[in-house]
Amino acid sequence: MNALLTDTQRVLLKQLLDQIIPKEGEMPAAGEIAASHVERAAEMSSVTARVVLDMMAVADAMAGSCYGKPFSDIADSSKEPLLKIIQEQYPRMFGEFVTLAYNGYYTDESVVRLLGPDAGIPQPKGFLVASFNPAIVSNVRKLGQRYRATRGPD
Amino acid sequence: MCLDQGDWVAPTQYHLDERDWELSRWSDFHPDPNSRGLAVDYPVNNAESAIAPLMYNAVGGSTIHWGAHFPRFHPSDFKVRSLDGVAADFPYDYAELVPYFDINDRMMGVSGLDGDPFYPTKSPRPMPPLALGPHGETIAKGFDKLGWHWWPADAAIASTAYKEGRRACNYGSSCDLGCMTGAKASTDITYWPPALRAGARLETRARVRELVVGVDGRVQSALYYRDGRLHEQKARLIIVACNGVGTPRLLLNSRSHRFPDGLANGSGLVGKNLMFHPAAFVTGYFEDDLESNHGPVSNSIYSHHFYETDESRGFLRGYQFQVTHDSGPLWTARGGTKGEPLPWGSGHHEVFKQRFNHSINVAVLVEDLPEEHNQVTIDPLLSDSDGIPAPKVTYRVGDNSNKILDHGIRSATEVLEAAGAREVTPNRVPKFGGWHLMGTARTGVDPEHSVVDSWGRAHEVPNLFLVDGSVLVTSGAVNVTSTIQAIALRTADYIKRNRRYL
Repeated sequence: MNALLTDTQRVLLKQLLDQIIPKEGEMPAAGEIAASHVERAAEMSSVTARVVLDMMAVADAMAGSCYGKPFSDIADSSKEPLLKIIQEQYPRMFGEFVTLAYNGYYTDESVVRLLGPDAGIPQPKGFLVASFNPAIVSNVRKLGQRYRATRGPD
Repeated sequence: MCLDQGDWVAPTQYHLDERDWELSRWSDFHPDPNSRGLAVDYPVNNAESAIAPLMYNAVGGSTIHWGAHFPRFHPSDFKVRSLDGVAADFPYDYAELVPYFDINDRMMGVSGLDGDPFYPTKSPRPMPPLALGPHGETIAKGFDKLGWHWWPADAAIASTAYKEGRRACNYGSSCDLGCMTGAKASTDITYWPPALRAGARLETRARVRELVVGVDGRVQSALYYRDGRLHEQKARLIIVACNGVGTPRLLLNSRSHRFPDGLANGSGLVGKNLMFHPAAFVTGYFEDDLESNHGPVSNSIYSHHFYETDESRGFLRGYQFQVTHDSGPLWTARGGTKGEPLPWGSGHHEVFKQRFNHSINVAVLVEDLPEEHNQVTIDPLLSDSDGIPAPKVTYRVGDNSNKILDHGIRSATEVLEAAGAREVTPNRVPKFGGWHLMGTARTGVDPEHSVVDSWGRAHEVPNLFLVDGSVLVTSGAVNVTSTIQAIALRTADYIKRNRRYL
């Protein structure tokens, strides 16, 4: 089967994802992390493929229109403002692309590890929580019976 | 013999120990059958409904993906007409259901705390309450500060080891995607094993097209598809439990010379009076890490402070606060209960840090009054993969419900702020909020104004019984499974005692 994206498109996809979730501190950007998930999702669904391909086409077209060059070649400082324009003009497509980026990023093992143990896979270990303390309801018990009686016995 | 349109779901089919476990929330475990689109699902036209009906089609039904929050109806919920002059009364009361509530609590395995002053005294809870953690304890302080009622939830989730080899909950925050440990009750692991041991037979992936009526007016068989072939299952007595959308769909699809408008539909009420619980999710964000994803998704504490009618509030009936947990990092990034993804770009990580495990959701669950224009009909064009006509749902949120929502959102905001929230955001009536499907084949003593009698038997078809949410007359303002199951057990008891005459 032919790959959905060319090498050039893969570069563009990573650059777009880097803008959706940029690097900050120890948290990596989404490009390296989520690109393979996004490409795989696009290969499995024609609807998703349309979103990804349209997003890349629009990004290049807008960059060409505003700066006379493809998205990959414009200054980093111009990329986020340009994507905000695309978001305004194509909110649905853009929203779906953002969701794809989040899906790939927040299910990546290295990202989840960086987020700490509370972000981990819930099973089979689960989480430790201190047992229920019965004294905590003492104020509520003082409220007394409040349910509404009906004519018959309840 | 039981025909189930779904199949068994093995614990290995739950993805909760896999890296991408959260993705199943938006794919094979999506609560909306249209979004999920599995082979066993049928489509539902919900384009004209403010709320999409949610369900799961499998052995165990929607208990596979439910939250297992397990309150009972209040006594007043059975007498809404008598007490408040609206809707209709059930032909039985809370007291009559108590023995069945108790049996069911033991069968399902309920964790909880005795002594809630907002209910009549219940039998001792089979297991101690689930832990609240900093998440539950923080919001409890907010309720205490305002002098409002709250109580740890009755949950159909084991807090200790329980029957049928069920293990205690390990607080993994993923109940809506199935439970790998068996801590959460689902009827495939609670009711089905003893039923099978007692000799019940189960045919899975059997999708019933229609019920066939004989010349004597009794239902005599079910026609169903399995593996693309049509079969007939004859029966002396038929019990339907397809939920508040699936049951009217089946009855309306079962047309005959005797029942041209659908089986048991002489009243014209099959499919009418659809009730959901219109809901709002009000989420507060806190400075402290509250371990918001440590615990069963739908169970922490609840409040019935505004449950009963107080006409000074400007509406009849009331609502429940149900405090719920959040889930994993992807759930947070995609906006949690609000459903609006976090901002992208510079600043994304900061917002994520402020929200992940720093949130408390207070769900406002509103009592829905029955209105005939809210209904399930048969869609003229849509059908499932076997060609069986699919349901169409038409629903709008009523005026009384909207007033309750206004009050509930204000009050939820107040309690979250009292608990220390620095930011509060509401999500009013989310589209994917139709967890509770009720009222579409209502119970009553008058055949002109109801579909089934007080035992769940169709007025017009003496050997047809309904035992799901469709038989509810009013909705209460609490999650309904406990009450539906108690009513079903009462019907089962009636059938058992009278089987020679039915």
